[in-house]
Amino acid sequence: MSDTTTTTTKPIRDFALAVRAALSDLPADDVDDLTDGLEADLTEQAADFGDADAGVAAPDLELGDPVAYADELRGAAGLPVRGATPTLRMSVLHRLRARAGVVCAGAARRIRSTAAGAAVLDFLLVLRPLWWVLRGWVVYAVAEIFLGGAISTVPTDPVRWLVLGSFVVLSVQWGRGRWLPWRWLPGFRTVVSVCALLVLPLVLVLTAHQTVNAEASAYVDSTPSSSPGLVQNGQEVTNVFAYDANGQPLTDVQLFDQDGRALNVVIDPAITDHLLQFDAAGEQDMVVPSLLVPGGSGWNVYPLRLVASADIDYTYDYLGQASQADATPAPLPFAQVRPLVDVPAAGEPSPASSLAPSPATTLAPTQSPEPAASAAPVAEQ
Amino acid sequence: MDTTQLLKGVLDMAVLAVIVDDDGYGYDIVRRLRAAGLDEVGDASVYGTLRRLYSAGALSSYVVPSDGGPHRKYYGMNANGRAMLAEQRENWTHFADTLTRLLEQPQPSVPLLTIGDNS
Repeated sequence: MSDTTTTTTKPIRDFALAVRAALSDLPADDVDDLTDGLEADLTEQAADFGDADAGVAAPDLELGDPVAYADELRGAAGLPVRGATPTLRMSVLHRLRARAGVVCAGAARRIRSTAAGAAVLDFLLVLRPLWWVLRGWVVYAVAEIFLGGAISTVPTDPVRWLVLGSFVVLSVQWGRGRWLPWRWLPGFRTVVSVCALLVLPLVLVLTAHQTVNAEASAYVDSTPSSSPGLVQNGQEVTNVFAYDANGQPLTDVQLFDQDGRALNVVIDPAITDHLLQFDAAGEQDMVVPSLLVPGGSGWNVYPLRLVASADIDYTYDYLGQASQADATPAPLPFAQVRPLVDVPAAGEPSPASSLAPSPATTLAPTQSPEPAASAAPVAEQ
Repeated sequence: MDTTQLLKGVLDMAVLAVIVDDDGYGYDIVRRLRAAGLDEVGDASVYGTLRRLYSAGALSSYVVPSDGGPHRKYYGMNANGRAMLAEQRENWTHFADTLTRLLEQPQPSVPLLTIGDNS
């Protein structure tokens, strides 16, 4: 017996692990019986080997193929050869996994046998964390499509971002070999990886489509916000002027439509603080809402006041900022209009007398007259 | 001829023989076999054989903790094992004698009848 004190080296530990893996289809007790003390035996053998070949350049024990070693072990022990009697479904799975492991190890060894192969493999190994993140995202996207109800591969709200984050963290932890408390989880992880790999192209295509669509819809969305809130004959109405029965201009008139809605000149009065209006010289003025309505939604109180282009502050942004303090009453289209006349009382139908004044009295104020046209009737008073 | 094939049939006996007087642990037994001249014996075959003999009730086993290293699983003979070894030794001696005689004195060939020879 050799009393040489030797430590179990990593190759021996790896070899013993591989042997146990190759025996993994056997009951755990059998594996223990067969491989109990295997490291110690191998270590001692390696020490013997080193002693015998003292002075030789490479005194390392050639451990050989762990699978062949395991087959020899089980053959000598009279245990069934691998794959002889697949009685349990679980054992088939185990065997498949062991065989896949052997195939992978063999493939890796073949790839590593060339310098270029080794370099490529090392490069890909560095990229593994990227794959872990991608895997988390793909699983999120699939879950989103099938469970979340939305067909969006990119989160649209904080909750979904949180879910995506959870998937990514889980995937990365799995990639690092953490968070796998149950024995079936590594197998499940493999299934998820394969599925994710298969679905990845689909998810990428979907995402690309969504990006294009999002840009398109963003463009469409921006259009209505610039469309006028109040239109007359296709022309935007930016202000309204009311005159009383005597033809005198009114101020602070609140207008509503047939449904009781405030008659605003802007689409969204609550968040709009100005409306552009071009004056005769082509300068941009800004129409601002009345301050008399609490909450800044005084867009239906006419006539709206105006901030002249000269008072608009372009210091901070190119759109310009208007201050309510600079707002002035909008210039009236007419200083005053023709007063209304008394309508003949009902029950005195007089076609001849009612026809005569009606063109003059009703047409003039309602036909949005030219300033020159309105001046004439007023002057007649 | 490949001696490993020959060894397969007699490894039980060889293993029993090297621990008949002195208990041993796995690699210790391999070493004894190799020292005895069975250079080509595979260690895995020996460990497997030990496991099978133990399961068959021919060996007893006990664990000995070692200083500064992993524990050792020792195997020793029991009555059952000794009986097995005695029987195998007898069979082997008989078989070996027969085969030795066969090899040293080839049997005269028995004249065979050929097809169609009706004599």
